[in-house]
Amino acid sequence: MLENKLIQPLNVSYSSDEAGSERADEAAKIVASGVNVSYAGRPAITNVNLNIRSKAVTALIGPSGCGKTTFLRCINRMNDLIETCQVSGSITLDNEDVYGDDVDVVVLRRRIGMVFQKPNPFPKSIFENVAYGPRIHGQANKGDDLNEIVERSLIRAGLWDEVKDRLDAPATGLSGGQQQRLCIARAIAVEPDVILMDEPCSALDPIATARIEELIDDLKTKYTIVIVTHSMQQAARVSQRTAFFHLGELVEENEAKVIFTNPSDDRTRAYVTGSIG
Amino acid sequence: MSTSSLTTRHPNQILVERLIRAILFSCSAVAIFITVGIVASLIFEAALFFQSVSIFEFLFGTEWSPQTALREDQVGASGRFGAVPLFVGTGLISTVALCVSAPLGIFSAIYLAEYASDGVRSFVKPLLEILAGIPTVVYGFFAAIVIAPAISDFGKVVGLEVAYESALAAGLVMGVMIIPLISSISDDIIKAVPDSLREGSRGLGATKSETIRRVVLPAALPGIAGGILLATSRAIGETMIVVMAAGLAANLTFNPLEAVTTVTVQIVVLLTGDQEFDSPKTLAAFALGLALFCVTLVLNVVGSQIVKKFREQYD
Amino acid sequence: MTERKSPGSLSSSAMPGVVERHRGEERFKFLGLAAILVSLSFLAFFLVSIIGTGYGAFLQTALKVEVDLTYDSLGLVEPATEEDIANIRYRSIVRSAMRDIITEDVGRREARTLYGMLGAAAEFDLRDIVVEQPQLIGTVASLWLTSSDDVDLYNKGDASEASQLQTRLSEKQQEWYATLEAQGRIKTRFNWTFLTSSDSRDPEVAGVYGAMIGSFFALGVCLLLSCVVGVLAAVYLEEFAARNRWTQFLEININNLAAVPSITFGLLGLAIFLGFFGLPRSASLVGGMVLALMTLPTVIISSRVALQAVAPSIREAAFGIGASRVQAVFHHVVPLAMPGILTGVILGMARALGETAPLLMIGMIAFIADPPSTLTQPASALPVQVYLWADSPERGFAEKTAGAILVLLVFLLLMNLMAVILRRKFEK
Ligand SMILES: Nc1ncnc2c1ncn2[C@@H]1O[C@H](COP(=O)(O)OP(=O)(O)OP(=O)(O)O)[C@@H](O)[C@H]1O
Ligand SMILES: [Mg+2]
Repeated sequence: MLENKLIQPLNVSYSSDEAGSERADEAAKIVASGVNVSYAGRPAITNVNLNIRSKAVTALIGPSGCGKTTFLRCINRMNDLIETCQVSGSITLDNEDVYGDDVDVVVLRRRIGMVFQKPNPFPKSIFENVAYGPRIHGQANKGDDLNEIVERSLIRAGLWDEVKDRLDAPATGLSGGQQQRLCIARAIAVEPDVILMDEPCSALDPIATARIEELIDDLKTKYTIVIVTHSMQQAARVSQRTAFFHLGELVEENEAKVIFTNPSDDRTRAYVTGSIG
Repeated sequence: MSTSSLTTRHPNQILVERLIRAILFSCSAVAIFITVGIVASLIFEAALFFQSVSIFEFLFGTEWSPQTALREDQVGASGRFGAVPLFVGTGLISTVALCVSAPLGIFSAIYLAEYASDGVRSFVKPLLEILAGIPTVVYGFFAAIVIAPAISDFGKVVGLEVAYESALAAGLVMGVMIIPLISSISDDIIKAVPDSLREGSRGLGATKSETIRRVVLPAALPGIAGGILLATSRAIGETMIVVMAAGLAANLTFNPLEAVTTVTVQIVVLLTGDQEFDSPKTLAAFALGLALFCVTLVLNVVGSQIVKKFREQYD
Repeated sequence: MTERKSPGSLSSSAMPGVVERHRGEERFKFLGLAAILVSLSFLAFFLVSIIGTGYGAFLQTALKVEVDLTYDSLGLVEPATEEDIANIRYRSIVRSAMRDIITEDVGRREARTLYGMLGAAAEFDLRDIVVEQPQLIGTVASLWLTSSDDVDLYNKGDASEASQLQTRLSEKQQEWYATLEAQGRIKTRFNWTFLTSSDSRDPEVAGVYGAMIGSFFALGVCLLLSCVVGVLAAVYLEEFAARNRWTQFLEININNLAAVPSITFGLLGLAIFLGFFGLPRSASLVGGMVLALMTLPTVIISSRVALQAVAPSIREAAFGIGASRVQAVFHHVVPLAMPGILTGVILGMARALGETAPLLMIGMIAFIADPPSTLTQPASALPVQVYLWADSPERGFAEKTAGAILVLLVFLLLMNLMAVILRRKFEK
């Protein structure tokens, strides 16, 4: 599960940004309090309380099966698609409960985009993939508006130069890394506030991974990003805040540097030094 | 049986094993014999037919009247054998059938695959399958006794002239018969579209129906098209419904309200009368059979190939 | 804390067009449901109309008459021999019985129409009764005899106006019918004749027995051939054949054969079995052979699936105790796969039972009044009978056609039930 190199002490440069530490209670984009999730009555995560900073990258780490994906999918209510899944507690986006009675998941998910573990471009052209979101949401239907959105999103996802000559080619013909960046472009095309990423690099080679990491670093100026990752190095490189999950609990959340160098909980320490997981 | 010693087996036993293997092998070869038999007998009889009627006239002639003898004494001059009206009639009825079964089958499949709960699914699927299990002669009776008069009467009410044996009536009932074929293939295909695509679309805020219409169906389209080819082959080869509910006269028309005849109807008509085996009339049936066999074979091969490719794509 | 945004920024009203999109969602879902409902209502309409038309075939109208069987009127002397009984002129007895009931004066013409109310079936009825109960001779017996087809339809059509207008009973006959009914001489009873007699030109005596026997013979032949050849072929392909071009070719061939139009198999049968080998036309033997050709691919495919479902460990265990391949397969694998194989075979047989077109090709379309007693005699089959009756212009046959369809459907239902039960067992 852990990459071998992580067993050694970490010697990566930490992404230190203003958003990181100081203003701890400030600009909380998403606030989860007392979140419990169970599948068919079997609890998956219990009592998670977590503030997620605006315009910063928050990484969720933890051993397999600890509930990272489950928590992530609570935020944009993708768990609604699983019939056996039960969520309690509250999660707010800009102080508004996403599980509130009058919340429309269509609106919610337009504001909270998602990128999945395995690149999942639609079997359509590159252009149509990016245009999909703006089209369904009526943000732009055709012509220059749409072209502009597609171009802007592809540029922002760092894919434009590679595909600008073949926008009509099928997206499934792209390489894995390109596909994943296309999925990111697709997500940002609808202008969300938040982007959730579930192990976006786990199916990619190191070079493609590096490109995505760079991209994430760029994107945080505009978006709030929550990323699940199994790579501690990645978490350290891209995130300002890191949350460690273990057995369905949120053990510890802090500035990335603190989590990786001086965690307060033994379990966190054990995990980041590679002795559990 | 197995009393043989450790090192050697009784020679008889080896012989028996060989014999059994040979029998098994020949049983599996029967399938080849059947195909060869079909192809050979169709080609042989059709070749005899084409000695007296030119293949060009058969394929492109627009007049079909095998009954009218022009000159009794002349071989092959017992009628006109231009099969175009039959091909068009077959196509017309099959088109009507597909117009009924494709939307109903595909939408049923969508509901079953995407919306229905497991309970509803396990209840509705077998019910739909019943439609495929009903003998075609029963559909034929139903078409001739219930549907054809009803359509004809309805035509009168709205002031349309509808032939009693209209292509519409036969096609409609044939369409109902084909619904389960299309719905079960489409259901399979839709289920084979990976969930990751659905999640990707839902994650962008698309509703379920938007996801189905804009992502799942386009992705499933090649597979569904393959299924429709298989259904077309089924419609073209269907016999009893058209024998009982379609016309006998070879009208060359594209109007579904008129009576048309089909390839299979003419095969039955030509072969169920009392005539000697080698008359051009009976031989014509084999020429029609050959055409039918070739077209359905191509449709089946292409259709099942497409469906197979589709499944492999997402495996 | 940042101040709270305007409430409901995540609600439907926060984005234009969303409400309409949700409505579209409902509409789309409804379309799917509607497609299913339409398809199923075809099925329902279909069954209702077949049952509605066909149940009448299982009922017949009987008239009660006093039959004068005294020796005097029969012109016999005691005791009556079997030969005497066979020679009794039942027709005139039935006719005079009718005359006794309708006491009014009727002319020759009218008398004909009066006799017409009890048809040929009544004479057969009477003969059967007398043969069975010779002690009735010498008495005046009060008996229920089958009415003619016209009376039958008039009775079943009840008093609904449409059928009054369509009836073929003359006004006089309708009057007599009313008289008989007033005297309690008319009843509706179960029509055993339909199940025990064979085809006839008279709808009131026509039945499906001959066709059932014909179908039974043909299915027997089909079962024997397709089951043996099909299962053995499947065993070869699954258990013995090497994966090479030849088996691949066989596989493709079998799959395509399964989708060939059924009428093509009829053409094959006509050209090879009748034309080349000179087997008899219309025989259930040839019918069964043609049906076997048609079902063989299906049987092979389903048997292979059943064989695949047997765990490989069974084979290994058998080899482990020193069994040869043939022994392992036939002693261990095939018995385990048997329920699955049988399920497939039964479903194949059900399809064969309903198949008509190939049978027409080999001449099973003739009018056949007697059930076949050997495989090579001309025979009919249930679906062929349906086709023949459906083509008949006589009104009484519409009911018989639907009745025959019901018999066919009951058989199919039973076969499918068997398959379902077997499969349930198999899955456990
Ligand atoms: N759809 C589901 N149905 C039932 N149980 C589920 C489902 N999804 C997840 N679970 C359970 O919930 C728990 C948390 O799973 P989750 O996928 O959130 O873990 P994770 O931290 O993302 O693991 P990984 O790192 O392997 O992706 C696990 O025990 C898992 O078995
Ligand atoms: Mg996960």
